[in-house]
Amino acid sequence: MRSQRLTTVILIGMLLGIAVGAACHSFWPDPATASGIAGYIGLFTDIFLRLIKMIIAPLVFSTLVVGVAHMGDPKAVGRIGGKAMIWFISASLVSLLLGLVLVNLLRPGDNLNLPLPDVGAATSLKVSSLSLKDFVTHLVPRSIFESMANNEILQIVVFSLFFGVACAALGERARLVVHGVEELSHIILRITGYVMALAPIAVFASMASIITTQGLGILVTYGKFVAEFYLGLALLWLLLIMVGFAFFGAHVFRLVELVREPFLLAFSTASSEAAYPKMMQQMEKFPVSKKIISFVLPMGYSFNLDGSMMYCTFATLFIAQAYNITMPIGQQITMLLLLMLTSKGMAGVPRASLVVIAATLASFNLPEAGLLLIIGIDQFLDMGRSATNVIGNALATAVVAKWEGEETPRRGVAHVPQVEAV
Amino acid sequence: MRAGLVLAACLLLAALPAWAQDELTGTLKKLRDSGTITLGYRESSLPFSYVTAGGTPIGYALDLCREVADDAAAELGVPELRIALKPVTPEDRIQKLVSGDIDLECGSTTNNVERQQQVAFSPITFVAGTKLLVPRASPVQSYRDLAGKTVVVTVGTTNEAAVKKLSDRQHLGIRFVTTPDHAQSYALLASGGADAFATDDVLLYGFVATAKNGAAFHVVGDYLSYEPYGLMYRRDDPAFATVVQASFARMADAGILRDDYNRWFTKRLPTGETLNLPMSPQLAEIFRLLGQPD
Repeated sequence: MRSQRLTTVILIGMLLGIAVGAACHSFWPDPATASGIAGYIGLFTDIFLRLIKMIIAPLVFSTLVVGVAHMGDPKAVGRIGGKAMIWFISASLVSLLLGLVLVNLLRPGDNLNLPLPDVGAATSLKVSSLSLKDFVTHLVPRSIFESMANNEILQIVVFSLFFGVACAALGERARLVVHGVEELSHIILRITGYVMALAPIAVFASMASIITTQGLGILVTYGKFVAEFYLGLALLWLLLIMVGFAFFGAHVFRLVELVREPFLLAFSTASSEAAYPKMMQQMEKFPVSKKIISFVLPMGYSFNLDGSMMYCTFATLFIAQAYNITMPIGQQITMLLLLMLTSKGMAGVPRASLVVIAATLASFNLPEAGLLLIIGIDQFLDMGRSATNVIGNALATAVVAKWEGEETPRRGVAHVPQVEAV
Repeated sequence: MRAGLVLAACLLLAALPAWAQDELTGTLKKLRDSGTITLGYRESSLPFSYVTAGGTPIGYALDLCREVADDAAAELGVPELRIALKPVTPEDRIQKLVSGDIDLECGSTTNNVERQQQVAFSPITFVAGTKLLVPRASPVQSYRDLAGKTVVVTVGTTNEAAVKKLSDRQHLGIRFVTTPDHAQSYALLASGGADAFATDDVLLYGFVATAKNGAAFHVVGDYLSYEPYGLMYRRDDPAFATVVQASFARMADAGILRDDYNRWFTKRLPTGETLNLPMSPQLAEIFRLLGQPD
């Protein structure tokens, strides 16, 4: 299926899913029946997400090993990693800051038209995995099979770096293995193609099942908060595209076009992971070399979650506003810097943003009961966050490639698009 | 020789913390010494913790507590702990826990900052909250439709306070009627004396499932107040806290939390009722945060 057409089909699947979900929700208003039906519809999403999880570990391993082995020089690995981290940290700061500025301008929490959880209510969410020691220890796999079994991307990256550097050092003597791993990566990418054929059904099922259970009414209830958060995300997209424009000129629009499909996938399944394999293929078409994509992209999935970053400041201050607690600007800046550190330490923890928000609320004496207010609609917000993370990572990968002196499309240089059949 | 002494001293020092860790304290020590864990249960907090006609305590919270007991036994390295059961009431549950009468309270207790001064709480096991029960034919879909309508509440409940506060804050001008207990509040709604009955959603689902003519009513709207429930254990006991946390992480990861929830809230209960109360999005998100796979 051609990429263009697949994107259209996914979009149709998404709209159809919304319609069917809304119909089911009004046809079976009884919540127990609705959640039962949603369970059956959601089956297709579960299968799709499981297939994605099945290919992620071998995909990261094989592409990264080949990439590093071909780089040849361990110094290049360090240099690219360093450049990527510089970009990740700047992008995170900008995202956090944008969230902070917007929540102060829009003030979605003021005179909230919603019942508030009692200030005294407590959630006892465990937030201990924030220490630097745990994070650093956790980076290093104790068994590559354990890391692969649990899809611990960062641990797989660490092992693959060792493996790739060793291959490069052995040169001729490791040629067969590198060749084998390269073939493995082609096989996995072919499997990705098969799995992607299921994407439109998965997207349809995911939207239909979410809306069957929750209905669209919940969006009206939380209207102002949801609308203003999505407005914020849209501004962040615009900002990222503008930065991309500075680097690549009008070619940035081609980048946007290329990531449309992973973007829609991440949005409708609320999982950035679901978009990973497709993202790799699309970035190659920009073009960015495999060695950069295979290295920067899996790291970005842990360290460069722009949408999630923005949500951290936005949601924390929303809760403060809802409870009528004034936070002086100095305290807000402290909070921003703290979020910067904690969020990086939480890399790889599933649903990290909520855990990070819980920890931040606790350290600034804000009522943690406020969490109960926002977790009810987290699924809808997670959709936007995941999609934003996809855009952020596309840009990060392209910029690092350019910084490395690759022949990425430049301002004003014409580029012949090569859309290959999948 | 001197080097040997230094080495010996170093070894001794290195061994000290390990030896200190071996010495159990708090609840774990009590469990090991007695070979028994005592669970506190409620007599009629359906479906969290209640007594069957035959006198056996059962329920969602008790099932979760038994899992924690298994993990405590594993931590102590014993095949199993004897489980003793003692009844508690809302009045004496904290005191019985603090005094050591029970080791784990398995009921429906709201986790709040005030109680955290005295006891520790497990992760959230259930999010209860005030919702509205209205006739199926009623146009009321949310608290916003209540302006000028009559709402019955049971006197002295937290729900009464929550809905009155909401009415004031949103200038809804709701007329309130109060009755001394939930059954009378329901009867007033059923007789047409009120447009809606506001109380904990789990109780409302209970009325729909079991009360005469219950099927003519349904529960609507979002939470008007939130009551996060948890299991209670003694505070300032980091070793036991770790066991409880790890136990919940294990239950989330293995899908036990979700399965136990469904067994007690959506399927037919051993005592015959079916509550038909699907998991709230809030609780679903909390279980995911604890590590339940999607």
